[in-house]
Amino acid sequence: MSELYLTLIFIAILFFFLGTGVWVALSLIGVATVGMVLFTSRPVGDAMATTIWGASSSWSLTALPLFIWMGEILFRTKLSENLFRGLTPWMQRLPGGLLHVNIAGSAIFAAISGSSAATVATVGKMSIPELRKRRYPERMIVGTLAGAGTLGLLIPPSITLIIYGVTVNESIAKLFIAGVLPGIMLALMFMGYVVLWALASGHGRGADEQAYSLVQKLRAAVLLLPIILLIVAVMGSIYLGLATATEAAVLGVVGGLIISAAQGSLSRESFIESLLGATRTSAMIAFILAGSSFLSLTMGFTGLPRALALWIGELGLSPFELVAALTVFYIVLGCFLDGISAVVLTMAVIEPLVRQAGFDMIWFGIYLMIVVEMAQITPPIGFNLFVLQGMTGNDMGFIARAAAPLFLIMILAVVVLVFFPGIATYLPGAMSGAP
Amino acid sequence: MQFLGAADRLLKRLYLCCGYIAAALLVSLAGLVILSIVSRLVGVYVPGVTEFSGYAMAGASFFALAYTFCERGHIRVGILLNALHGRARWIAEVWCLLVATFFSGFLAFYLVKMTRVSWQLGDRSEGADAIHLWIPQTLVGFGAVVLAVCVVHQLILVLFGAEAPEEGGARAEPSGEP
Repeated sequence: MSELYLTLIFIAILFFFLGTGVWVALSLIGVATVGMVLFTSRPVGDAMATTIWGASSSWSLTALPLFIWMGEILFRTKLSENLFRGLTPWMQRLPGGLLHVNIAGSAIFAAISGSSAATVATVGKMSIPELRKRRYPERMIVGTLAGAGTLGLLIPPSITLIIYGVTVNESIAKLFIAGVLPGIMLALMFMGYVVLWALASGHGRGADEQAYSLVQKLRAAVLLLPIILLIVAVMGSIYLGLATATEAAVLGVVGGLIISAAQGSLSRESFIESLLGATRTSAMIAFILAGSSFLSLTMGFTGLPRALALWIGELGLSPFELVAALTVFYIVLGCFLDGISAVVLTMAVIEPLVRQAGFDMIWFGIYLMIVVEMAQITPPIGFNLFVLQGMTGNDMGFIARAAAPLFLIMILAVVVLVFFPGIATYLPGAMSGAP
Repeated sequence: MQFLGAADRLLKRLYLCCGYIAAALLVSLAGLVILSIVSRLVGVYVPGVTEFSGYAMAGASFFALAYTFCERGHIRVGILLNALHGRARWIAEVWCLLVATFFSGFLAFYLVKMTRVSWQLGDRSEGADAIHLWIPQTLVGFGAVVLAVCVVHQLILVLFGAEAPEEGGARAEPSGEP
């Protein structure tokens, strides 16, 4: 019985720290420390130091800062303009017109950046003013951007997916490859929604549509060529087993620098800025991971994950019911926590549960990305909403309502993924000898 | 007061320097990975590249902690903080900084202790590099100490009202997933 009280105290402290605004990484370290004191008689500080050292200096983590840096470099190129100009001639004849540029542009940018906030910012920078000029409804501009921006988490390279892989000890290369098809599927579902909306409302076209000849279309495609080549090189080298995730990330950094130099965007300042930006972001994430490694250690001593797995096992839920329950849980959690913290915090507790329920850990990672993506567009804490608020001047409520249909599509995508798990697991299974 | 101003500037320069060192470690991480690719292509074995990459990663992460803290790059849940104003906000901020001071100090103390023990026992890496572990651990220990100093520094600034408590949660980093 006293075990139960201790556990309750432990969880209450965790939420108290997080809720009052203590920095996430330090909250994790703090709670883990308290837990160690409550549940064990081990020397807390020494256990903490060795765990954190081990977690922070592991090779599997090295892909993280490099992919972040690649994204930072390309973020500072003319990519946003090129994406818009390259995609426009191809998309404008579809019902829904240039709204598809938001989605396709996000999908492409997601394949070079692991962040959904960066995806929204890059694609939106160019497309918001251009689409407004052509009198597309504001609700659709904002909604499609908010929704499609979340592809940053699903389409590799994804920072959150790396974090998941490091936390549960799964191959990052396999997780990346697993994200490809679900990412494309979700992008197509978003586009399908825009087509349906256009056909139903009859609004679908922009105000000043111009006809493009095939030559113009091809010339536009050339703008996208360097980026597409880079994506193919990075993902292809992972898929073919030629490179580990870390090596592919370095390839991405070098390729990003070459593209940036070729466009004339590479200067001393932009180089240093991209490097410092990557340094900050990866320090922030590495610190959270360090804290979470310590928390996982403590969790092992509390017996909480095992008890939870046992309890859920006794309930005898079907896998489908379990996924449904977890989805609701993550959506609620996502209202308060960002994606990274939500993944790190929950995996420390529910990993045994998920393994015991017999889920494929690769599949679960992809599932987790989609549910965490949903959290990016749910108020009050949804980072895509914040970014769009800053960019468009609309208030949060409007943006959240505009994004609501895309939220429903993501739920649909989860259902599809549950019934057809092969969408996520086929490619990694077919990979040639993952390094 | 003048002395305090000078200390303030000096410390801020220290954090920035550590940030630049972290950035340099990040570049060297990229260099190490390139080295491992090239050496594999030409069929030469360079021992310990994997371990050194890990050390560069750890060093880059910890050296940048204080700098990232100053730049408000560490994330936190902002719901309550954003809802508070004036005196209540100040109290909440002091509470957060007190907790942060305690645990960053705790972390720094034990990371330094771990480094010292490695040094005394002459621990070596189990990998192919077989270097003395205290060498890379010093980077991590030092970074943690600078973070603790930085948190205390911020606490003092807020306590004496020299600095308005920071606004909101994390600022939106382009590539971070804040």
